[in-house]
Amino acid sequence: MKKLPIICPSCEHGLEVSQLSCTNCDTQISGNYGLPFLLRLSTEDQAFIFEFIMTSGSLKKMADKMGKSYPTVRNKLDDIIEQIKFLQTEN
Amino acid sequence: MKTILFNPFEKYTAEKLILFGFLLTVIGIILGVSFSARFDGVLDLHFVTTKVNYVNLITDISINILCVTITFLIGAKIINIKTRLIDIIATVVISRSPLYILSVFNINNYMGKISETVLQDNNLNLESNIEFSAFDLTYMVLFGLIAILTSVWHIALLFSGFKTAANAKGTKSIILFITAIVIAEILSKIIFYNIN
Repeated sequence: MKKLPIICPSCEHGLEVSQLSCTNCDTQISGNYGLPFLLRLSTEDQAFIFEFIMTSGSLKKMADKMGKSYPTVRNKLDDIIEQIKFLQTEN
Repeated sequence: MKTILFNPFEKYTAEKLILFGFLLTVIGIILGVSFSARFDGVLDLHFVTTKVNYVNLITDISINILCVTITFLIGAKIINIKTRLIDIIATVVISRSPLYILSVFNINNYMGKISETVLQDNNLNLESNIEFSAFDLTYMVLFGLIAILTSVWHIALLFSGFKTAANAKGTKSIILFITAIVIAEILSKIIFYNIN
């Protein structure tokens, strides 16, 4: 799967969606749509959130699965929460 | 290997670390008695010429663990209220292991006797009458270097454990870490002074 670019390679500003298209009938929609918070996180953070949901939000299970200690996994979650809060204030 | 030696807290569960730390503590007590070492302070290791028994060592290590656990828990809770006591205990018991290794260097109470000689000399200045052999000096220098290395390892383990337990970042965290160690050292010294 192709990686969705979220940062402008030229000026490093956050990118927005300007065009959407239907692969079935070729309809194209143009406009400026901001990316949702989750998509503005790094691929690694998105994978972490995915795992978090798949383990029903159990950090202990996640720690076992990742081969990390509980505080390491909890710290990662806290860092992601801080990042989302920052993105929220930025908007 | 680097993770196991300097930051095992990132990988292993607190339960495993406490169990391993408890085993290391038992080894530390046995080594302390065998090599006449006293851990009379959070960062201290002294070799004595008097007889050291198991009660001395259990008391020493228990006081040190308790002092660091209290001050670290307070410091860590200031940084992150979600810090668990179990992670702090794991940090404290594991990080003490380098100090236990150091006690092995007092073979036949060699370092203890040297310390006693130095302390008994009342004219400890440039005109001191103490004469050390080349072997004594080499041994002291070597011991000094190993003591520095083990102390650095001890502090590095304490810091990585504190950092992981509290998700500590930035200058404020470093200041709280240093403050916690200094207060723990003072606290332990006051306790040792009162019980001895």
